[in-house]
Amino acid sequence: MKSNSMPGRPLRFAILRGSVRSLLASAAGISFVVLAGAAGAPQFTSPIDNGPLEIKLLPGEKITEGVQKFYETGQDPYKGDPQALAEGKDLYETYCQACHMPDGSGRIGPSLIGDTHHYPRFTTDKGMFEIVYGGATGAMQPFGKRLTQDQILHVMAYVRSLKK
Amino acid sequence: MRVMTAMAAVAAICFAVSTAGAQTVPKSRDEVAYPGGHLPGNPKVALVKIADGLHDPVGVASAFDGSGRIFVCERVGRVRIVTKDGKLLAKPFLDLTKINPLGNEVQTGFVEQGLWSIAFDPDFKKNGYFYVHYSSLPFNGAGVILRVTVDPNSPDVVSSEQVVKTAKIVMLIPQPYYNHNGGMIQFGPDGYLYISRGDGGWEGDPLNAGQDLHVLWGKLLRINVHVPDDSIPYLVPNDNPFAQAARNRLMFLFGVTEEAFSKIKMGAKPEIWAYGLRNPYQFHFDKKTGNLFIADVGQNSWENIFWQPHDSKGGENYGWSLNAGAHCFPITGPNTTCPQVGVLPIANYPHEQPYPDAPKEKTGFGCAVIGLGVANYAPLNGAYLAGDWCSGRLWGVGWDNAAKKWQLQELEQTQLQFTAGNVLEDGSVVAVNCYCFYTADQGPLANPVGALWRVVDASKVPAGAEVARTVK
Repeated sequence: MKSNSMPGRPLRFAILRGSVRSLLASAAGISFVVLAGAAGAPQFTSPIDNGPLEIKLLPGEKITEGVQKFYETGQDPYKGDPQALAEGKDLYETYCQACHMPDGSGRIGPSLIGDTHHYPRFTTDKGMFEIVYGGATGAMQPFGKRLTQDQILHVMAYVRSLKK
Repeated sequence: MRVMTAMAAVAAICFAVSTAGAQTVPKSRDEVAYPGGHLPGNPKVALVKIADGLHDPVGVASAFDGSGRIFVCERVGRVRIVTKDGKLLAKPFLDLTKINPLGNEVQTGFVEQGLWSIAFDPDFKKNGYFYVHYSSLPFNGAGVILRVTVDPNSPDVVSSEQVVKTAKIVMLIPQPYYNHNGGMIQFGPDGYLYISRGDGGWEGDPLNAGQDLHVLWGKLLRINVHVPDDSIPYLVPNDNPFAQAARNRLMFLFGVTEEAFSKIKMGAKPEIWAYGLRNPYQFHFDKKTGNLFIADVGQNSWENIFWQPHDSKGGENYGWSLNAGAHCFPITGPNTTCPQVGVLPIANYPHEQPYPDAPKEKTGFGCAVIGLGVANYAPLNGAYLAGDWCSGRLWGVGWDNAAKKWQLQELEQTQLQFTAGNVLEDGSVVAVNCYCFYTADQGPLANPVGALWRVVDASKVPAGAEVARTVK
């Protein structure tokens, strides 16, 4: 288990694989618990009730290196990667722009590029993943039911790129 | 203990009476209910999952035949049965995707198209008739109301052969655009079939359908499907509001009052029960009182719930597209003024921005009202329930006899995209949700499966039940 602390964003993890095996990886600052489930996914919580969010693999889904890195760091590894952004744009145009508009300014769904957000956790990659994967209210459906976690990270990276 | 029980019973009766008092249609805009109100008793409810595995469920109904079966419409053109113990039967009750060798009978190219609704004949146990309403592929998206007869030897599966053999097209309504089809069909307490049709689509009612009595779009229709001879598609009840006014007649220029002239509507569609509606996707009768609730999906500003008393004679004009409920159409700013046309809604709630560049609402907003049904059980005691497609809010609308006005209360905000609801034979209100898109529609079988939910008293959630996630 690697514990990559991003510059300026030290993280603390507790890993619970299988039964009760746990590991604390150090540093001060934000902390979250990593549970068993999908190859050591962190403990995510729902943006609407803060309850646990169960991470399930889609049929045939594999944990990619990018997802694993995200589990370990809480950071979306695809941010700023041109190829990943192109893939994220393609997914965004298919699933997101109808509600959030091509430029992310929002219509049926809220703006993704403003300075204030309905869910404050949107500003962190972990929080944005929780919103996209687990869904929020109504039409912001849980995209974890249709997209792999790797695809979600690609979309997230593209969304981050929309804010100029 | 017995005394306490008796007192509680008396209190309960008094409470029920107090909530069921003399309801009235608002006479002025300030009598319309807005978010922030409280139903009598401030009820707490929960949505408990009955079944899932449903592809884009967009309609639900009971056969009221004592079987407890719940019939769920899947947009693609299938009706699925959920048994009274919550089991989803694998084989569809009805499958319109297979009856035509040339392809699906149902047009599903846009998310508002598909198989919207099923209703069972009031005499279903004897005649086996049920009716479905869908957008037809062979008829280029026209709305078809089809009657099919169940083979009593196969009560849970109507074979393709049985559909073809017994099918009777009751009504075919051409559709100019792919949206605002409306869609619900229900039998009223009078035994007539009521049909909600949207204004034909596009946006802004470009055909002026809501106010045009010569078209069936933008209306609630009422027909008699119990005909003496099946060569007759249906009959128009004589007491429909325009049944007599629509007749052609000899011209008289003199000896007729202006009031009498104003009531002549030659050429009007006699099937019309009410008009001035935009997209009344769901409507429900209160099975206890006979009152009618219509949830009319609005355009960019307000969502409306209309109400008719049980003794309505029909003919109500709900104002679209001269108004958007209690508001102007178009609404251009916070102080837009306009005359009020027709009958006001009893309740409304705004979109996030109820007029262009309005400050964004922080709470109590949505985008598409989906009526679910009247809950004649505690703690709702006659409240009409509605969900919002965008925001997942569950609303309750009820008459507050103490305040002598309607109240609109947000009961909870859920994770569900509500698509339809209805009242079952046990009286409970159920809802279905999809995981579908609007303009980015992926197709009726491409989305994650939706589910069927029951609205229950929050203090009586069965042990182990899955409850819809709500905002805390």
